[in-house]
Amino acid sequence: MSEVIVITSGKGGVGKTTTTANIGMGLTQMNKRVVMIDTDIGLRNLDVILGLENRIIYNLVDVIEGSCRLKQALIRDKRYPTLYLLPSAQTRDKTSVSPEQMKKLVEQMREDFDYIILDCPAGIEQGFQNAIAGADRAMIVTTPEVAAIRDADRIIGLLEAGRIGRMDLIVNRLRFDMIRSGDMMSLGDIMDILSVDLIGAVPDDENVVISTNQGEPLVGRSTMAGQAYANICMRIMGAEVPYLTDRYQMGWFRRLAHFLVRG
Amino acid sequence: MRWLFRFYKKKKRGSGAVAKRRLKTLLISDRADCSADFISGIKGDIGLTLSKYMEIDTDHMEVNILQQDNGLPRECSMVLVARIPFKEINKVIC
Repeated sequence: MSEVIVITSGKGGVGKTTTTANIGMGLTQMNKRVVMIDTDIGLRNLDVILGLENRIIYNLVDVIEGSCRLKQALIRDKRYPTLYLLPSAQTRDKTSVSPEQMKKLVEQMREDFDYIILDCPAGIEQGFQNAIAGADRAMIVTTPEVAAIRDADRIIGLLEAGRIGRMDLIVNRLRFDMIRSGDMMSLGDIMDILSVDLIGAVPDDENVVISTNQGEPLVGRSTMAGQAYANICMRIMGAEVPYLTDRYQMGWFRRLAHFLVRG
Repeated sequence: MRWLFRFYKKKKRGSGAVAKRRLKTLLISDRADCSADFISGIKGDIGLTLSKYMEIDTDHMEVNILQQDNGLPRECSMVLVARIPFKEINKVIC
């Protein structure tokens, strides 16, 4: 049984594409057949994050318009034989695709893949409507900032109106040191405001920048963000995994001090 | 010693709490998405209906949409609260 997941956020720059790349690769590492579709027509990015930008020949719009077969447009990741990317078109705009066409395309892919992951563009216009059209469930990415959470709330409202099956929240770029000092909203605060289920808490990690520079997602690697993304993948597959706590961002001295204070 | 205490207290009340408070008020109006026209329309209709049964003070009538944690699912967390002062109950209908 395949599952279609849309990764969305409303606000731009909160880490949708990075999240998509890491979740896609993480699920592949768990022996699933995965295809990622970049639905951000005109602003293609997922290929770069995955390091596949030099291998694009055909794109999403070519497939929809029938200029090529689906198999021709799918790019297979050489690192993982069961990971595919359907890149977006760079020189077209969002009106090149309709929600019905998107839905049809996704249905067509269900047989061959366990997970179909859609990278949604920012905003709430047609690109968003296209991306959510064929999705079974949504993951809303946000950061602990007022603007990002406000937009996430709007997206949740629109997804509810669109009757999406299931919604989960991923909070990205958490800084546990700032939460401790009271200068950042905690996971609890955000859950309190948004009231959707949490599926991931990703710490702010400089390794994410390094991995996007290199075009190699860091899921599964022994970094904080890599671990957090791997945990999200396990939760998607139904496993119960505890959330990373601030202990991961504490140095040994602080940890010792905490231990002594708490007894 | 007092400056130390003040420093501690200041740290406790960080900008995270400010963000949360601002968001909560912001989302009330976002979720209700109600213009002044919408509220005054409701107010007028409630007034009209109730005036069949009682003599109400329309000048001091208040209608607001609030967000409340009332244990209901998310889509029902908005509550319409009306405060309607009345002068007399219409005896004929009673």
